[in-house]
Amino acid sequence: MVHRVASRLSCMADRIRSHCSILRQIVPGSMFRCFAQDHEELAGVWAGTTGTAEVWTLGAPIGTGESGSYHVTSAAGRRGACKPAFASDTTARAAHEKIAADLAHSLKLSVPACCLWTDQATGKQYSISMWAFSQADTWAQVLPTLSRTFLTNAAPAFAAARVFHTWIADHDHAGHGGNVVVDLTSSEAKPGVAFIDHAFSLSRVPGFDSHPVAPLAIHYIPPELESRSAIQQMCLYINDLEDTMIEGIVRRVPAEFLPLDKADVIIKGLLRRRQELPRAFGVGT
Amino acid sequence: MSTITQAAFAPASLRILEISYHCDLTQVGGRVIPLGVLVDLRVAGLYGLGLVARQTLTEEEACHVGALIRPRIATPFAYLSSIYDEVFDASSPGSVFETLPDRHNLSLAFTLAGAARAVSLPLPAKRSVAARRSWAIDELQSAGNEAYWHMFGEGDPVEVEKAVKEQTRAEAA
Repeated sequence: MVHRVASRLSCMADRIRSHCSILRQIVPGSMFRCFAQDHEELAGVWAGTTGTAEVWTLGAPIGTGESGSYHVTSAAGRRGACKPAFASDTTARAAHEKIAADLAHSLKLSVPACCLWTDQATGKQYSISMWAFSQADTWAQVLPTLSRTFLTNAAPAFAAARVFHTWIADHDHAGHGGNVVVDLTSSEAKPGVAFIDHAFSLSRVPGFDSHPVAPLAIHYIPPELESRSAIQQMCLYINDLEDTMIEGIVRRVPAEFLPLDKADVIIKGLLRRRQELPRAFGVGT
Repeated sequence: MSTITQAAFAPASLRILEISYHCDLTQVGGRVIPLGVLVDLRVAGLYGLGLVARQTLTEEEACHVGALIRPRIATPFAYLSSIYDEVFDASSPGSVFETLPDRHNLSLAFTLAGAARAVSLPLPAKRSVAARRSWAIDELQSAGNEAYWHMFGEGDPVEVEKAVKEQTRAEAA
């Protein structure tokens, strides 16, 4: 019985990979990702490593500091947002941000680039995320002003993100208007949205490596606008990632940012959960 | 009796939010366009709120503002008045005022200018509610205008026509 199930899953995986190779030739690689060229150049560098070669200086809290985030600037004048490595409940915030950003980079999804950083002045550890856009506001603030055309054209990115956030069990993206940012220099014809704050996902979620996958509900945009083709494409993209790539993204996070037992849970969960995505979203068997 | 009256009133607490638009979040030294200030004052069951903001941006400034928000930011006082009204009409306006820096900390940024300031009440303001209201309006105007003019630096326009509004209301203790 177990052997037959494993055999069926293997065949399904082969069919998915074959289908995906064909899709990759048809679907533009940047379909769900909309960052400026200089952002993407740095993102390419940061996606290939965990740390940063630049010298950074910690700044003031962002807002009143309730989010626990801080401004940070590099010696070259680049600005970012950083978060302490661990939350008060021991959630490996920085590691989760880094893993989510690197996975999203592979999937061409709009999550800003992220690296891990130890402040030499204090020895404290953080994640640093790039600001997504030169001019931005949160979805919560901008939504009342957005046209139906904007929402329609942004729908594929939101659909793809819904699959991604389901995969990594990021329930914080279930309608949290502060976790999506809008590019204020974009237009309704070519809207720019990015997804931020993935700290409370992955190993923070009980049963991440064992519980069945249940898709996040549709939030942010009207349900009738959701793009089913984007759902299918992202399910295929995620299942097309090599196991070794996923493991490598997680394993290279240093143990001081991500305890080994949590890394094991994350890898096991990501590899298992992705196989359930097509069924969970009704786009495959 | 005068001593008891004076003893009953703690100093007023005054806070100032500087409101600006950041044209480049990604780089140090990105252009920052001053828009205005929001000031609140709390004393003895009275809440006061003031807004001092520019009527319009210059054409040159507006060109640097993203198209999605330009129509609103181009007339700062009109746009910020809606946020003013949201604060003033809230059941707990001081609490809503406090949320603004966290709600607006990207391109449109509300930044607390220093710590809350303690302001001593003059005797008439301690003895009369009407005098206290009048004094509160004066304090909001004075602090608001001073903070407004200090927002502008070397690279900012010289002619910055402003609009103002101040109101007070009773606040539950």
